[in-house]
Amino acid sequence: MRMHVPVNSRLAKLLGALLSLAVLAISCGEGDAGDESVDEIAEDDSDGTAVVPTVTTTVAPTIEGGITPGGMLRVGLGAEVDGLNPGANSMATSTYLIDFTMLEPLAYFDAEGNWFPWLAESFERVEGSNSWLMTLRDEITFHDGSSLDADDVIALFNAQLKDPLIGLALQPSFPLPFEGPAVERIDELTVQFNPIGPTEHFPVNLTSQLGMIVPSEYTEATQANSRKNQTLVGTGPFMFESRVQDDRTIVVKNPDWWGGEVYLDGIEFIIQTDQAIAADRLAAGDLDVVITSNPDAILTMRESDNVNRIENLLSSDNDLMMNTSRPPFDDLRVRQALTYATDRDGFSALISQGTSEPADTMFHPDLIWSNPDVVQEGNAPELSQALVDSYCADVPDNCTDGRIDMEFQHSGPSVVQTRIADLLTAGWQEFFNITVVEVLQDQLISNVAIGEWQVVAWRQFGSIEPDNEVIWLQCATADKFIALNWVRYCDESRDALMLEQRQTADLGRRVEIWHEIQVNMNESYAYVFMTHANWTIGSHERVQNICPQFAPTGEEIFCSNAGVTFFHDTWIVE
Amino acid sequence: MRSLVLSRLAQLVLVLLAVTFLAFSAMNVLGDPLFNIVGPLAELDCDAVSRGEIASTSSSLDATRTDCEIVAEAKAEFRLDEPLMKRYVLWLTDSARGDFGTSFASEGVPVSDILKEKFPASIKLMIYAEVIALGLAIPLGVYGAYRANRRPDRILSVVSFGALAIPNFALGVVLLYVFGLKAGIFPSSYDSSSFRTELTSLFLPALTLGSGLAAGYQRLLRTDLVTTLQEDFVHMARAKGMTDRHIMFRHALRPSLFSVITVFGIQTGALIGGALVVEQIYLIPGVGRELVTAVVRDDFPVVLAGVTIIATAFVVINFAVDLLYGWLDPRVRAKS
Amino acid sequence: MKTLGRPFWIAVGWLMLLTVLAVFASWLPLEDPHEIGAAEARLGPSSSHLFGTDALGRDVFARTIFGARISLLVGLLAIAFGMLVGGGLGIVAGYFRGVTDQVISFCFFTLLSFPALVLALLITATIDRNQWTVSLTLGILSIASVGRLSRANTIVFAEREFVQAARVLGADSTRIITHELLPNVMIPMGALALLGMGIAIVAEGSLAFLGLSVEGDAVSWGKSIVDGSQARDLENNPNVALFPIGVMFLTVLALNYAGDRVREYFDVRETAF
Repeated sequence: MRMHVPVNSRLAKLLGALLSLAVLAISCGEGDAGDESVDEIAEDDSDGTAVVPTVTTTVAPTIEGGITPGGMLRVGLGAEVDGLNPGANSMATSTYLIDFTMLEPLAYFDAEGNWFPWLAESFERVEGSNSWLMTLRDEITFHDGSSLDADDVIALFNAQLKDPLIGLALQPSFPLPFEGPAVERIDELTVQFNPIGPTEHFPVNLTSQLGMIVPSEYTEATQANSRKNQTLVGTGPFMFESRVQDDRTIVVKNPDWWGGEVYLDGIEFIIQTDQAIAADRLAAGDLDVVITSNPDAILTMRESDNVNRIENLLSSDNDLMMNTSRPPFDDLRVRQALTYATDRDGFSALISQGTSEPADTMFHPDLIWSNPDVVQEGNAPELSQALVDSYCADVPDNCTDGRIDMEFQHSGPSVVQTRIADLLTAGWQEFFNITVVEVLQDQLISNVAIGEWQVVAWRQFGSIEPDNEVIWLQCATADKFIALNWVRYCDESRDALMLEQRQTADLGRRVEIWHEIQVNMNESYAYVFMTHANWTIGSHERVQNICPQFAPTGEEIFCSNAGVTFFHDTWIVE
Repeated sequence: MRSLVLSRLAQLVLVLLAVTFLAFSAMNVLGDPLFNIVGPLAELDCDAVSRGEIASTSSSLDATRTDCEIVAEAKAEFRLDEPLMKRYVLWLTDSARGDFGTSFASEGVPVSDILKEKFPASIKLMIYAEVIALGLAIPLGVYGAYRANRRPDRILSVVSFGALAIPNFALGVVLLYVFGLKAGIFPSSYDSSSFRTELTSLFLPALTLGSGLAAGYQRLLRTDLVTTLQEDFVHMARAKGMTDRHIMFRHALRPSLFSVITVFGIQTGALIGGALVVEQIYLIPGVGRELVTAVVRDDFPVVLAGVTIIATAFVVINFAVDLLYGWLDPRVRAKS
Repeated sequence: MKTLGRPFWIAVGWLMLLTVLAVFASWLPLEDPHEIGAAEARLGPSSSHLFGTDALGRDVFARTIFGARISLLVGLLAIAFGMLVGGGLGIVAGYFRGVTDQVISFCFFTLLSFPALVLALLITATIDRNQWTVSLTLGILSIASVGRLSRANTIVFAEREFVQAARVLGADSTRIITHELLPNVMIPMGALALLGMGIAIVAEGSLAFLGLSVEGDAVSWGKSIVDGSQARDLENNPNVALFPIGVMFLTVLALNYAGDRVREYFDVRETAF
């Protein structure tokens, strides 16, 4: 068979794009392979006033005696990734962890959750237009010896934009067909981005996959041969050494990194899909670091004396979603009935096992964005019967024996997902005839994207910058073939609010708007919020200084960005 | 002898054709290959689009091509519009040259690359299992025959009977619990970083796979040895004053190993099936796990290549065992 | 005088007990195997929960008994299907010989060229998996083994005097097959059926580990064992996996032993397994 630029819209790519949109991973509880998500957090805690979420750390004080360079750090990851190329592959927690050792972003979040320029030197809005001007740092070189310039940024950005599915992530700001260049070269180190709408928060987009810079030669080489996606070239503190998919990826220290000395000789990322076993291996000293949101693994780490933990108790939400575009969940009464019959307490106790906190809205209660008056209903099955009776009287076709016919899809094969299905259906079955369908995770995401579903357990939201959540809530895609507004719920007034907060830097007004949006979401009954996930970075006691890490320019880097962290300031003591 | 080999060879080729055709048509008739290439676009009714009943949806994915063009391209690239028989023949001629096409799921990656990456772990596991099985079965089989129908033999036969009744997965779980998690003697997961770690981390999986095989070999070898020991040449040797040990290892064991070789061929199927499950329990990145994933996501090229290679290996091993048996055993050799 | 021996009757007794429990499970004073939160999760064995409770607080004993329903049913149906199709084809092949025999034997050989689990994987992945289709899949796997044995036995019996006599007396093929061959071929097949049922029960468990057993909230031994085999559960609450494993082991042991005894009792020499 011939090998050439392959058919563009492979399923894998769709998923890649969907995942790369920054904040998604299905499957609460995160049991087995492939449950990943990426979102932003920072530290700072106080009640209802923090802009960014809480991180609990239980790190033993650094051992006296100074830094000891050398050694390989063995990092256990719960899921393997398709490839490492930010221009072509899905970026989830595992990908970010691996890629951030070799690549550097144009901008990133500091410890307070504000963005700062990293490979970029500065960003500024172009007066009188929606455009943003970015100047790159001078004299940064890639691992292959070439130097960073505007062409590298443009090649990557165009590759992402042109990629039909990763381009989806850029649609809100750069909708196709795009008139005029989306990104322009001004001079060797200056690039101009031309988003279509006004935004006060543009550089935030470049803290993710979209701003992780590879040389233009690499981008071209990967487009010619997709096998090259399994390698990586960047400017970062470590360099690509070797990779065997589903097994391990090895990076070695970059002695010439512009950010200064790197202590470790290298890092070995090891795929360990059963994360509870990974936690065991960590306690036994067989692994140095394990990053997970799996409750079993977190509990095992909590019980181990020689494991330090950095727990991010907010992260994304575990929730249920109902497809409001299809019967029977197009009817508010049915959505209410399901919500009341949902065993949120059981979920919290038996699935999360107390590792994470119950959720009432998309925001953790400690956040300034969170509306304390909104309460997620559930565990009130006594309220369901009347609603079901009323619906079945109106639409007898969708009911059998006085119960509403419905389908619940979950990903699998997975023990945790099966348990979640058992738990939920036990609560619902008094009012619903439930067909449980198990599909592969890829297929589930795909089914949800095209609206071929009724109810699913999902994980999303939790960005540090709420503006990143707009894409999931706006009407723009609600009635499209592929909808990023998964529940396909459209409310014009909510759209107007979201647009308003995008265009203002006034924190007070933005908070007000998000409070209102949460009320709207609560009353639409399209989501049932269950718990806020807990992303934990566990490290063996011999590993020193997971956080704080500092960017080359001195800013303290945001620790545990939903499990995503850096390792250039980490060392090992024997 | 030669005509026997040739007719067996012809049969072998015929069986392989049937096996591959069965797998090929099953995957094509029962699954939906298009969905796995273009994702949800497969649901798009392109005929309706061309008749103008549905608006073209070029905006959703690609600026340069309409969705229906993408679908048409995919169909052309993977020959989905051709009749089944033609596709099968094309696939067969490509595979014969070692080209199994590209995977549906991981874009553009040749299937042969994927399998090349996955086979070593599986093969190591299976060889390891056979080594353990034979290492246990031969001494225990000899010992059982030596003490035939006395207490040690009885105990051995009960143990091996029990071992045959333990499912692979159950033994896998129990061993993982006892040695991997509780005692922590062996690592509970695969570690390929060095030969030593590989040897220790594959021990429990190989033991899981090997114990059932060992029980089978042991029972067979013991029975066979007991029969052999009744034969004239053994009595003669004994009369000549040779020691039991000498008789056992120099004279009796060799002919009895032939039956072990035969069973080795038959057991290969069980070994491969067992490896599928054991790889799943111990999370070994082998061809079994790859195959399970590929089957679930209807990644036909990978499934077909995997099934073809496994079935070929299986049939060829049995063929070789037949030949070897005829060549090694003087009784059979004399007859032909 | 040959006897089946006491252990044989113990084995049969165990199988009977299990069957009775499984059939009457709904009427027995058992906990609801699906009820969540009635008891605390992850309890060890006690007098109120004989086998303890699982991660969702469900009674493991009840789940093991209800699981026997599916596991035994799958085993029974699978081998029944294999007997019907494989046994039938085997008799036809063995009786008519010639081209019919060659075609059928070739089909058997082809089926046997798939490692069994790989074939099961191919089939289960493309169907809706309920107890009927899973049984059918496992039944298909047994066709070739059963068929080869029934063919071999048919060939032996077809040469015997009473068959030859019937033929001389003008009985047609159908009558010879059903009246003369079938009853004689049935006995060795009975022994094989017991062994085959054990194999099918184990195969269901293997499929469960590959995530391809019966879908939905149906309880089977394989699914219970998988549920209890998550590393942390196995470490802290081994009872969830080990009790169903024990029951399954005893059942397969009983089936194997009974099958072996029956085979020896009727002096069946060759088996295809």
